[in-house]
Amino acid sequence: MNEILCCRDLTKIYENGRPAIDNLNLNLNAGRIIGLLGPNGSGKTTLIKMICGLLVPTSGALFVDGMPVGPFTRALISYLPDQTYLNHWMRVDQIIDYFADFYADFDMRRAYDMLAGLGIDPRQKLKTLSKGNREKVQLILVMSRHARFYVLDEPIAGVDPAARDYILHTIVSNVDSGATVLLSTHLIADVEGILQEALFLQNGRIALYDSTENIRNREGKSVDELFREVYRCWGN
Amino acid sequence: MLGKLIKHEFLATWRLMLLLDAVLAGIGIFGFFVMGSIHNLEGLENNDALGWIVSSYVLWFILYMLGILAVNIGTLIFLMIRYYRNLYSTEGYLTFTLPVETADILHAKLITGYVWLFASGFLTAVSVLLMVVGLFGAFPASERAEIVEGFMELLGHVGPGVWVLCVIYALLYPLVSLLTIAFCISVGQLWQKHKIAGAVVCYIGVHIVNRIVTTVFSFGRMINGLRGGLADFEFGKYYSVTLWEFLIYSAVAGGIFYVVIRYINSHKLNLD
Repeated sequence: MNEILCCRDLTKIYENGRPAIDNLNLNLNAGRIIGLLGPNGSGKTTLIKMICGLLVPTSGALFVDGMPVGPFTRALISYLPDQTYLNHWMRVDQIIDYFADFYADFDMRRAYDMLAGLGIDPRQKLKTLSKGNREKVQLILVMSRHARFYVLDEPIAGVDPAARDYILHTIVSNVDSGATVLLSTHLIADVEGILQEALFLQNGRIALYDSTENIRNREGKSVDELFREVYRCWGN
Repeated sequence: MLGKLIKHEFLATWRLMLLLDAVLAGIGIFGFFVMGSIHNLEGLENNDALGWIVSSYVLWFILYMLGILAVNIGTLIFLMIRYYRNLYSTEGYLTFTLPVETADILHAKLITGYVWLFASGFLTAVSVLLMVVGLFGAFPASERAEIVEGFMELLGHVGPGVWVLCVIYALLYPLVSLLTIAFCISVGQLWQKHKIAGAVVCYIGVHIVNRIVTTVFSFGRMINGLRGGLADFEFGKYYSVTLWEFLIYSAVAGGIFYVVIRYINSHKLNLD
């Protein structure tokens, strides 16, 4: 199995001196749906930003599909941040054109089909859409790419249960075979059903990394139950 | 990819930029007709109506200058906001994850911004020229040669070399302005919090250094040259040397700003 992500002694220290990612060594195999799990402040978003090239590591190295972070790795990654990153003055179809222009793997038909499924008019400006629909448009853009590596930061945080179902369905039904999904969340019960592997982070270090099947067999409990137990212990 | 970045940069900016440029062109054309109408004052006697008309010309001229200033500053502020939002606010999550060289993101901003700043600078020059032509036309033909002579006297009969330097400086100035602003915003984003305040502090610092350096160049040289008296002062040489110094200083400062922005964007990117 190919390796999609490799971190070697990866460390990120912010100005406050606290390491958000602390000497992390990690290899992620391609073709899996991996949950990046951990409580707030465990380093999930920092790790994701370094993978996407939005933060520069303090030390160590990070490779995506064997390449250091750069234009080539950015072409492989389809990134969904934990906040809206689109220009609100743009129309939905203009944003689709924008993505199609830059990403060779962008599938316009898939994007328009998903928009039609939601009843969103592509001629609408983003600022006229509700917050929920703006987030869905963003998800549609990200999942309309035939990317090798989907990096999704808290895609289901702050949305209602019906929207969560839509988001998870959109993710699962649009990932091509062989592609990897790294999905960060602390709402494990909602995503556990789609996860194949779970990567637990605590204080910027790996607390646990295994397949969800192994975790359930070994521990005799769900990933969500283990998460609650493990982090409750660490919290004391 | 640079071409695509430039294309989308133009798509994002053309509406407001063209509107501002249209305002500049309108001000210029209006100025031409207003100044051209000054000869109508010749037949008027010195009465209340004349005083009122002259006052309205003065008021118009003040509004004209303010209008031109506002449009030029508006252009710069818009480009500044666009640069900040597109790179260092949440929009940066998209900008910096595009499959392009980080340097090309900066190049696209500089090229597009340069075109718009150059256009507004050019239209400002045309606007002033139109006003001067309008004013010139209000004088009898016999007086025009005297006016030109007086103007050249004022400039100290500078040679063509000085005009060439002026043109080079005018071409360089928009680029250095953009680099200065981009530099301050990029340095500001290094702050963990209060990034905009950081950019403002940086701009004030750069402005103070610029003022000191340009004052030393221009006034220092002028005071030195005037030691031998006004009659011996060589205006042409003064302009030429000062412009060269300004050019070199601007080019060096712009080069430093460019290198620092490149370094920050590739090594110190700090998107919260």
